[in-house]
Amino acid sequence: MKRFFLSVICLTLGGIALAQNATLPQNITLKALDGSSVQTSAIQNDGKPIIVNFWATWCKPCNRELNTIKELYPEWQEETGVKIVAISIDDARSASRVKPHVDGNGWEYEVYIDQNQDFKRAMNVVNPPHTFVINGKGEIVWQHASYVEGDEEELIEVVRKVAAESEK
Amino acid sequence: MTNIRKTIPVLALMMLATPAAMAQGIMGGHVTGNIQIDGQISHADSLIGASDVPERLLTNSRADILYTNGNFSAGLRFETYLNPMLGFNARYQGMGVPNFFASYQNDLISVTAGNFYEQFGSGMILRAYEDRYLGLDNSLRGLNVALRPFPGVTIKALTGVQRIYWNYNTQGLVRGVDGEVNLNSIITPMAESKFRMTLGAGFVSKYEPDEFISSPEPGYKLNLPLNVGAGAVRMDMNYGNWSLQAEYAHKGQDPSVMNNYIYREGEALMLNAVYSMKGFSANLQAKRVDNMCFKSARNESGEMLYINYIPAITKQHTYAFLNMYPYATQTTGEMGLQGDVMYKIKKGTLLGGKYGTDIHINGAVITGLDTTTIGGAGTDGYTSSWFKTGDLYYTDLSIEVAKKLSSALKLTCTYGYQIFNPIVEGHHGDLHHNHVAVADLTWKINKKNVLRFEAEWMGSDSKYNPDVDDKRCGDWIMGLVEYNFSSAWFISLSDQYSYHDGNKANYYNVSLGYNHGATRLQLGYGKQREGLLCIGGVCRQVPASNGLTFSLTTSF
Amino acid sequence: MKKTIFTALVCALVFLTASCDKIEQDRYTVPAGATGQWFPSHENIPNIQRAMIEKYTGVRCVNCPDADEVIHASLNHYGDNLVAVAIHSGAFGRPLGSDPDLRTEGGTVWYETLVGTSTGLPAAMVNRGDLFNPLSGINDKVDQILAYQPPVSMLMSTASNNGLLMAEIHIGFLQTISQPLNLTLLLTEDNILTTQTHVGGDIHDYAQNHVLRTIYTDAWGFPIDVDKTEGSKYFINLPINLPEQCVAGNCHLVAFISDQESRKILNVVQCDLVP
Repeated sequence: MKRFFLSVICLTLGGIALAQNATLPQNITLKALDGSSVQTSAIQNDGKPIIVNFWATWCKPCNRELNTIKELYPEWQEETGVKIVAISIDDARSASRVKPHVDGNGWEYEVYIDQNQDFKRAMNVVNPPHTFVINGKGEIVWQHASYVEGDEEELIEVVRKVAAESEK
Repeated sequence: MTNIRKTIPVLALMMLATPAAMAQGIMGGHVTGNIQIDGQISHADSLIGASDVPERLLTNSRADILYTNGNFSAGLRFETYLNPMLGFNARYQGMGVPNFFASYQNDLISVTAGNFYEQFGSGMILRAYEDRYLGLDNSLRGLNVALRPFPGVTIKALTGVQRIYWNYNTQGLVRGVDGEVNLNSIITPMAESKFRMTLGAGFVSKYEPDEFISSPEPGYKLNLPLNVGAGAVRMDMNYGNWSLQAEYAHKGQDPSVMNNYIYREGEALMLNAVYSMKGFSANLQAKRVDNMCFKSARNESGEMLYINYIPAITKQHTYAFLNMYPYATQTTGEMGLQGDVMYKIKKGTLLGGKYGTDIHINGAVITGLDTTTIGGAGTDGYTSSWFKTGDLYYTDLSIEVAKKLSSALKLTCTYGYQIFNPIVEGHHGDLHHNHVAVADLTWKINKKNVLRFEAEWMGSDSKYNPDVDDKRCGDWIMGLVEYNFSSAWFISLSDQYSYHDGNKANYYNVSLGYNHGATRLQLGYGKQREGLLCIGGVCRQVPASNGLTFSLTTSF
Repeated sequence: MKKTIFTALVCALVFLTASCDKIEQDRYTVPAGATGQWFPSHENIPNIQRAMIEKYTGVRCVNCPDADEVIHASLNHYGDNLVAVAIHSGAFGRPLGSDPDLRTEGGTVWYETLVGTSTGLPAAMVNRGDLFNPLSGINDKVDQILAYQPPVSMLMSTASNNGLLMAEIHIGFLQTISQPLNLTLLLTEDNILTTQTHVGGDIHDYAQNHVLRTIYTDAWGFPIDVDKTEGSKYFINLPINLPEQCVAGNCHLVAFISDQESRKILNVVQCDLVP
């Protein structure tokens, strides 16, 4: 039993040491809002940073976060070239409500549905909202779980840094 | 315990491999994962019906460890339930590595060996999924293959057995194939069309060996179908602002404990129409489900071993009182209609004000089927009319108005009306009529300090009856204050009280949380009402508890 | 690529047509085989653990006579504590010439479920544990099982009631058992003379022993729906009829208690048809 826990601890440490340059998984299938299938390799932004946000229609903080960012998004895009990809983890119950929800809220993000939650599992998302910043090389450089008002400030700071680095 | 013995070599191997990868980078992959630890210390409280926990501390925990290297990935999950927290099945008691897999994915093919989760269409014939909060894991262990021969075409095939607590139901084999075609991708003239269409079809078969199940008729037994098939067809159409989804599923004879061993075939239809544009959307959903409970074991009556999933079409509410009487999908038979409208009143108009106003209206009606009984076990069971509705099960109407009052203040007001038939929880009784009002105010004091107030009221015609002991009955009030500071900490205080016709219990709660990066720690102290915890129409009974809870989640 | 898709589609179609059973309305329920009512027993049931060796065999199985030797030796060694049942099954069991077909409906159900048609014969199991194929090492398994403290005890006798032959089976719970159990009753016959193929050439007038002739209950038995607490004892009477061609003096009744889910045998009892 001791060996067992040791191995878990070891793996955990190993994970932390290695996670620095983990990249976005390439071949996970998501649904676009028109019902067609899309591979995660399609999440691209010409070498500029990407924000990947996991959310759900029934998740209050997610909606607060995406609604807050909605107001700031045009400025963020202009400044850093960032693209926001919003991944809905709504399951069969509410997946059909994703498109009306996105349109009803007037969100201009690239939205995909991860109904089988393969992407969510691959990214180790436990609860929405969970936000990742991806740099120009497709590497995951920052992540944050949960949202409270004001968190978007930290997010854009990270994106600015990443954008500056990729321009070098 | 055999689980542990089997996986120790796997872990030992990874143990050896990890430092090697760290030190030399020869493996070149990444190890990521997430950990969640939940715990509870509960004391007896006779008023709310909480019983004492002899072991004092109950914990559930799990760690997912994922290794990826290019197109290859492998993972395992370690779980402990020492002992299972209140509301989780006692059969979870113990620890081990119940799930592991290895997977290879490229543009053309994805192959997974070991545990996998999968869904065909909306899941009406197959959905292997997990919900850690419900204590549900219907993962399949076997082989899962997906082929993408051309852009827009996906073919999936799988075979496996389902997890049941710490074991696998090796007697019940699940096999399935599914195909999906996006017409815009394969028909060249349609490539740029505004009309988008995706078609799909799937088939699932389960096999179980024969067994002796006596017929009500003396000297006879049921002649059981060993292979039970279920098929479904679906389509998804989009044209400009319009979209329409439809799915129909049919299931062969499947006598089981869930349908009282009748031979009637099952079917389900789901329709969803959407009109949406920026700032406005409307959708209408209809469904009819008849005898569609599909499990990989005939005699399993609990929450496990479901092969398919029939979602509830009622709205998933987030406010406490709107969730007091949740709806649980009746897979044996139901009909439902749901409508949803979201509208944004523009900025600068009379009602919109400086920032605009969001209005969200949702309504749903669910009824039983209109059936005529033929007989019991070993017969076709019943016949049902396609369009006639049966008893009213559930009605839900909610209107939500959200308005930003100033740059710092945001107010959301919600009114809800529900009619609830206790039969959906398996009890006969009068319909409950409930009115709910919620006011939710967020005050952003500055960048680092945010206060949130929530007030809720519920008026119900139900009265608390000690014989039935449904502690939800009566009228309720609730207050909540939440303070977020330094974008990392939060503290909240709340109390729910059944002030009239109820059993007059206070359910107070204090919680403290800390977020940092992908780590979240939460501590709570207070009383939890017994009730149903429902996610996606699947529900679990949670007993009352009184005491301390804590939760730690982290991803790396 | 096209070929792959085509193959995949054909496979899917075959799968579609093959994986769904349709049962006609008049066949929803079928006769269940013998079952009956349990009564409290006051009989003294000996506390003995016995083992059942289930041998899957056939007249066309060239290695089966050698396996019979092994079983014969075991039976001599263990005496009444070991019960043998020979199940003639599958393609190896097809009769030679004008010999009678020794295969049975119930035996086929067992064979297809427990052994599988792709397994070579002879194959054997002790109390439905691991499958021995070939039979070497099987006596260790018997030893192991006979050393158990029996969870249930069994006693069986036959009696004639108004010309109708009845089996009276007594069971006693020596420990409290929570899982569902089934009772199975069957008939075996010794000394059936047939031609038997053998590695050394066909043997004429080979004596087939312990041949499964019929299962009186359902192939998997019927549920023992009684209170299974330690110390409780019950009995049941089940009607017996002798299939044509069977010689009563060569026949034995075998009854066993098995776990409904795993089908493992907890205990077994045998008696002669004619006392």
